[in-house]
Amino acid sequence: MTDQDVSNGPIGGDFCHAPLDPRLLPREGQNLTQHERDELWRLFVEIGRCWNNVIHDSANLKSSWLEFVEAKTAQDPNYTAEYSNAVSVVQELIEIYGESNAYTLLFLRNGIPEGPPMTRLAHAKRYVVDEFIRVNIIASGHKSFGGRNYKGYLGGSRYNRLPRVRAYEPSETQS
Amino acid sequence: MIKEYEYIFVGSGVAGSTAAKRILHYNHNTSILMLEAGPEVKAKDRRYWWDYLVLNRQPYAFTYDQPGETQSIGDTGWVFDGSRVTGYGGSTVHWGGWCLRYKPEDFELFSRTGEGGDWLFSYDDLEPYYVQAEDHLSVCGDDNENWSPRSQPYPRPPFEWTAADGEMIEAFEKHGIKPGKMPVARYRKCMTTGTCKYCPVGARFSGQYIVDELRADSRNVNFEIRSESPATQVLVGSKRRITGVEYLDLKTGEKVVARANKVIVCSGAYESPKLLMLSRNRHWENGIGNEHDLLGRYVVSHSMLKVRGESLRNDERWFQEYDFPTLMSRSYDTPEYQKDGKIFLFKNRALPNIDLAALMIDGKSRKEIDVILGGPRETELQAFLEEKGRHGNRLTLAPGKNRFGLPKMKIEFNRLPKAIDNANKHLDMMEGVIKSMGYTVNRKELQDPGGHHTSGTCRMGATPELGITDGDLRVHGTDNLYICSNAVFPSGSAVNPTLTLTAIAFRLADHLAAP
Repeated sequence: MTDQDVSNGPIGGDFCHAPLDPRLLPREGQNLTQHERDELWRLFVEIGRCWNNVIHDSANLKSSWLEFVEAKTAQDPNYTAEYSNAVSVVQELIEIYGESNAYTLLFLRNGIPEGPPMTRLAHAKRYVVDEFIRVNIIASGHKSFGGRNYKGYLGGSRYNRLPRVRAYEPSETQS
Repeated sequence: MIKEYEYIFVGSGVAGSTAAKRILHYNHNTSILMLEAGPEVKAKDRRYWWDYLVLNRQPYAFTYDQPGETQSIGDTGWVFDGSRVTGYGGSTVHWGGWCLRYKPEDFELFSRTGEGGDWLFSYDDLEPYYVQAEDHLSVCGDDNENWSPRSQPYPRPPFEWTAADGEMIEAFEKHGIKPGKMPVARYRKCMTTGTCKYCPVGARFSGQYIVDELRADSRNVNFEIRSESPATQVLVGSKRRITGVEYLDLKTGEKVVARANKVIVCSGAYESPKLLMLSRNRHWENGIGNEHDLLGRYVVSHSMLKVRGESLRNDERWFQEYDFPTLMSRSYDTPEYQKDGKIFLFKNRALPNIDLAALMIDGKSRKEIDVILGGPRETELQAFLEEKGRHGNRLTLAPGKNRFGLPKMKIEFNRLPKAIDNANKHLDMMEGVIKSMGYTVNRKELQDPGGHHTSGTCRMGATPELGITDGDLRVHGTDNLYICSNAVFPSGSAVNPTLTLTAIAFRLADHLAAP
């Protein structure tokens, strides 16, 4: 896939470009299916693969993600409809660009204009991909960039006897 | 039917909750009504926590003062936004947990400088209560600091300096500044999530937890709390005798009267004087305790000094790992600087920082992010500036009520040129520190005072001509009305006030209820 393979506008087809109100999609009684959960986890895994920053078989990573999705779909404002929309958006992108390119385009070269999310594609990016990226970094993705702790990372144990951050070590020349 | 209590507490923040807990410790049967103007903010809620992290949505922000509810009318702006939580548990719901003792000289401000006020008790008098307060808040601190005299070690060991603190520590030492470790209140299991203003595990102390515990303790059979119930006036039977409180039940719209043998106003430095101002009657025409027009005067807080610098390289790829500072110094918080105004130095906790997720959301590739991580980077040295309470600086009532049924207010704060000169002198020193780290200074400023640490508005004084309360925090001219708030502080010091407030809450509880 090269830059020439995608136009200057937003990626995707008719479904991705379908207009939407920028506000959070209302849940209409539906629950996430297991298929949708699997596809959302796949989307989350592809974020880590794109930036090469997490170990996906980490139980901690998956439990953080599962808890996030549960919190977002069990309480208002409810994200269930946004998650279903994102699964459909990714499906269309895969149909058009193939599996190996769809995610990279969505993350890095999506062509979505700035401003409120006005299409299904923009909704998927704003309400799902962007938030999954933050979960990725919080839930351990920061470590591959050099840190030991990050705002939101549950990394410590009782009290603070072991430094959970890169700690200061005085140089030998100092008294 | 009018209910009667032994105590009515107006306010459920750290002062009210601490004093009530202590009084109930002495006698679990004590009848207490605690009134809270604001609502309850959900604590330890996982959805709120994720939204705080991912969407930067603060669960308590809806309780902040809104434009139109407050006015700043002096020559120096007064920052209200984000400075207090009106809600169950008070401002410890959003605080950072910095727990610093005042120093002995802070209790003798007027005697030593001819400005501000003296406390009616000394550091040594309060020291045993500092010990209790540190234990209550579970403060993590460095026993070797020696900033203030201590009779007991800290209850918990300190958070160590971060690697990114190192270059500033070394610059401090070059400038003769002693580096220290920030003492912070970490109440229970700290998992170092760095989300200290909305802790998912309840590690950071919050007054909410104390009130929750008081409610849950089955021994406290006569403890009641009513949120969304702003006090509208303190009631009197005679000039000296306080009989109770009238409050508004926001859920029903009804005004309710409750009687008590003692009323303790714990409503912070804004609401405490406002409630007394509202409490006008034939005995107190200008409000209770206000015969000498002192209510609301001497208002003071901290202004922030900031010097920021930039370095072209970030070879260590530093980014923020804690959301609280670990490096501080009290080398300019000493008697020799008190006359002009002390400062409390600390490193900006959020720098150096790279928002990794924001770069990914923006579509930057791994390679591009790795380049960005390599530099440039910023650092910042910050300080709180001590100023003295002055008679002309004051809080007054404004027409109308806010959405919690509390009166609107105005603050007139005028700054003396010598305070600006002092701030600039300190800013020059701070600039020297940043430059000696090899950074180029790109920002140097004195900010307007923020309302976070407001004090002085009901200051204690030996006589009614000098202050609103006596040394036992009882309002002059009354038998049974007390104020437990930063409002009674005659000096603001250079450091955060909450530990000292907690200490005086213990002291007041002992005065009232100790066997």
